[in-house]
Amino acid sequence: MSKTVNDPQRSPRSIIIGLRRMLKAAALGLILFAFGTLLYQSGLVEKAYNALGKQSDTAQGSSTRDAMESRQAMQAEREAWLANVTAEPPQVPTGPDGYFVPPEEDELPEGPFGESVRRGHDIFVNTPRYAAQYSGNSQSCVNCHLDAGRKENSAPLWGAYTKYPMYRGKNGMVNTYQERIKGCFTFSMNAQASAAGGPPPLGDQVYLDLEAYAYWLASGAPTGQTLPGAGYPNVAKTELGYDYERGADVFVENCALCHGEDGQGRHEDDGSVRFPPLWGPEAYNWGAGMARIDTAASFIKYNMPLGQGQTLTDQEAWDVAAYINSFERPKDPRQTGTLEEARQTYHENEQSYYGKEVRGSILGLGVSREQTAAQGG
Amino acid sequence: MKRRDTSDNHVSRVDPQFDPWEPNRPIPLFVIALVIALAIWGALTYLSEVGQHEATGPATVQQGEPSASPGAVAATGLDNARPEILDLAFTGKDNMWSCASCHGKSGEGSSSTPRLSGQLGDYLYKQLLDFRSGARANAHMKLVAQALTQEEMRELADYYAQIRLPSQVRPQLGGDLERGRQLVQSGDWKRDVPACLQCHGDSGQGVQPHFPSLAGQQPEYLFTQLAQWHTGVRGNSPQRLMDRISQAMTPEDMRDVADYLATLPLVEPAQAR
Repeated sequence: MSKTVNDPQRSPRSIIIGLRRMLKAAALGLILFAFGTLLYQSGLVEKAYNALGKQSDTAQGSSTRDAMESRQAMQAEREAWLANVTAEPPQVPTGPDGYFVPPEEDELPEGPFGESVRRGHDIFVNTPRYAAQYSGNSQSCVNCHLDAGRKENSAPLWGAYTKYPMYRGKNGMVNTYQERIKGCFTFSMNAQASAAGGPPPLGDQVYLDLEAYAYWLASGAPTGQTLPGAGYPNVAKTELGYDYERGADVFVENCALCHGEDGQGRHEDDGSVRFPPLWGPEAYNWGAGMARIDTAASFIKYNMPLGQGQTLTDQEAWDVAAYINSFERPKDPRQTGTLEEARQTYHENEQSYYGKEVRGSILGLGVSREQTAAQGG
Repeated sequence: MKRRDTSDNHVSRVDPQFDPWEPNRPIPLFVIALVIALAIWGALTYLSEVGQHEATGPATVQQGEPSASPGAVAATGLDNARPEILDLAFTGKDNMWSCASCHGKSGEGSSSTPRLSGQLGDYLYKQLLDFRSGARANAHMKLVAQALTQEEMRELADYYAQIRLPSQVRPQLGGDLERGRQLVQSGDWKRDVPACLQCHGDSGQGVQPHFPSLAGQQPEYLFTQLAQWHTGVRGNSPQRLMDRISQAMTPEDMRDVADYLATLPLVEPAQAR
């Protein structure tokens, strides 16, 4: 081919040869392009690329996988133990982080039990909607028990369910699990302000469904012991103690984005709750555990801001918990006589502002939807 | 080509017109072929991109692939602004690009250019301010934002916020939609990743004023933003919320989420503005 160029004469023939050469090149180019396209579309390139570069990505699901394997292992061990009593008894299913692993959705059985669990889950994540009759504010169970009651250090249901029946100082008796949830409705959901005027009666379907959900989440959890990750871990007391005025700054910097500067959260246009109110008539009442500053500090320290647990210092958690609980909220339904009597009977020796003077007024008298509506109107 | 004497006489072989830069060997055929192949590739890529951009109009779908919606869908509210604002959106200002030149005639966006239509006005406005101040780094948008007054930004943001256009997107990144659904609806709390919808609204429609709508957004754009937060290129999320969430996500997670979000329909919130 190189001969053509060395031709001393620029003859028509050499031009033709040159043209032919270009044509050959064009054809070869087309073939090259077609070959490249085919190679690309065959997926070989992608496969090679994935094989080389994607290794780090596959580590992704590994924690989920380990957790699932641990539940499958438990299932196998259960069967083996039933078949042969001298086999190893089943282990508690735990994930790579050591915490108990509740079942995943695909383990949910079909049929009436599965349906009850599903209803329980729905009530849990959207109480004002699915337990509307008994919901007296804008709170849902999931607001304080994150990840639909699955998350460790966020008072998970699997950590609570197996502890009942349990003696509780709050009402001085052995409580069944239903009685415990009744407490949630009475205080955290402020059921007194609901359409029903109080919590569901024992045996109500709302309890049965919530109980089914907790029972299911706790499957495989050992009874008779406190599981790691149950409840909220305590936050050590600080030298400075707590101060709601210091907490105001913490609140503006870390909480107001979602809960609003006025602490009233945010509702969607259809009325559903996006971010829960923290005080006022739509919040938990004075009898709720969360109204105690130490409980709120523990919850906040480990779970707030959402997805950024343990980013606040202990001091900030205490102060902002004090700030949130330094505002009026629905009254404690156990108060039948004076506020002072209720304080002495139910709130003595607790860390709260109940019955105490804050910003010039005594807290604990309560605020209701009607009052707020009247003020607004 | 220059003439060359081929006789054996050395002296006579020296051509007085010899040019040392003269290529005395032809370009190898294979190289020419390669250039031609690359040229074809380039031309085709260019044509397909031009085709995509030309297809962006108020009543068209910008996807190169056949869209889920059979016919052309019209956006509503395209004329709903002062003429000066429409001018900015569609013809630009002095020597500055118009919004539509990149974001499309209906603000539908394409690939890594975000959809603007139906986005929260407050969010769009804040982004323009952040582009101008450099809080959100983007050389192109910085130029655009510097050419706008604050009032124009506000009006443009509100203009795009009120445009109604059904979702024009579909999964594009080959993500795992089931894992995407899990992350979007429930999150991955073992990594402290909350569900996207917990803050961005049950349908991904956005929550005023800080949480932009995600449904209908270009999956490539979503992926790019997550990646930029992950690597620290983008850092204007309030309280560094998205920085931390993205850092807990793997590249796979980001693809899965972006693709799953592209499957969500745009529900019409009574986004009263």
